[in-house]
Amino acid sequence: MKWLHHVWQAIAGLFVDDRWLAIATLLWLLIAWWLLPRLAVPLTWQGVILFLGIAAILVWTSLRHGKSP
Amino acid sequence: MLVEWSHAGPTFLAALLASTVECIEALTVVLAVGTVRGWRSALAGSALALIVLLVIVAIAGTALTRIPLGLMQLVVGVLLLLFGLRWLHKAILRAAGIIAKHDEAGIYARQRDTLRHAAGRSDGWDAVAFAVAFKSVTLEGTEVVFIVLALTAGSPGLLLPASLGALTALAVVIALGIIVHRPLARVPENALKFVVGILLTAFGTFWCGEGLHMTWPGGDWAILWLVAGYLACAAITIPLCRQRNTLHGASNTHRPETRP
Repeated sequence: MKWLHHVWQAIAGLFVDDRWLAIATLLWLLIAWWLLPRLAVPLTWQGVILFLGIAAILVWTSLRHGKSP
Repeated sequence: MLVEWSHAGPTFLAALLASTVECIEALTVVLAVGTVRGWRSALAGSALALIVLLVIVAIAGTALTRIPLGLMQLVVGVLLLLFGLRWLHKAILRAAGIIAKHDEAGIYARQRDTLRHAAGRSDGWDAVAFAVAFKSVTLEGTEVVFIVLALTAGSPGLLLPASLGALTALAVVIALGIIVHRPLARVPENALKFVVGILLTAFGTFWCGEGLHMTWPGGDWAILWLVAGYLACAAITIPLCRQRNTLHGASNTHRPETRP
């Protein structure tokens, strides 16, 4: 079973390094999927808002590393 | 045709650059194994890893054709976004001096040292050399396979530019490895990782939006402004991180990096 754990860790490690980055990104995708159509945001703006949210998460998680070890 | 080029060009470039990085990392380990423990086991381990990767491509490729397009774009988009963000995030932290830069020559020296002291060598078959080469090529190769398959999500026509990019990188790195016979430490790997991070994050965002039925300003050309957007975002974040890191003292600098 140990090798299975290693394989899982290797696969998960491909996508998740900073867990806050991964969690915040997934949460933002859920919010964008659920909320944007309900807010009647014009279709062409939805993609832009999705990008802006991801960019903000990237900045936030990067700045967190600059602050705490 | 213009629509095709708007994706084929960035797809080829992303696959080429990402595969170059992964192939260089695999080459470093295989070279260390080959020079310290012998080439027979190193090459056998690498060859078996390539066969395993071909099996993964065959299985994953067949499975992907059975998934509905919208669902595939969303699933692959989310995975590609997480994958790309991980690269870009680390590239920003490297550029800001918060984590150590990737040093291929240093990795080669450490790997050689470890392999020299490892047990299990015999005149014939070297299990350690075989296992280390196999593991390295499989790990890096899995990333290449994922990148190629993910970049082609939603458009089977993109498989050709993505595969061409990956195969070109493999051929160039193998050729350089044979000629130079040492790690390709002069390749600007950190800069490459930065560019790859931006490209993969842009593609991931695009496919996520497509999977969520969003409309992109500029249609398929949105991939280009997404690349420009993430580049601008990184350009703003790096000096901010550097400034913040300096304010909070040097204790944060050069933390050891994990992959990639």
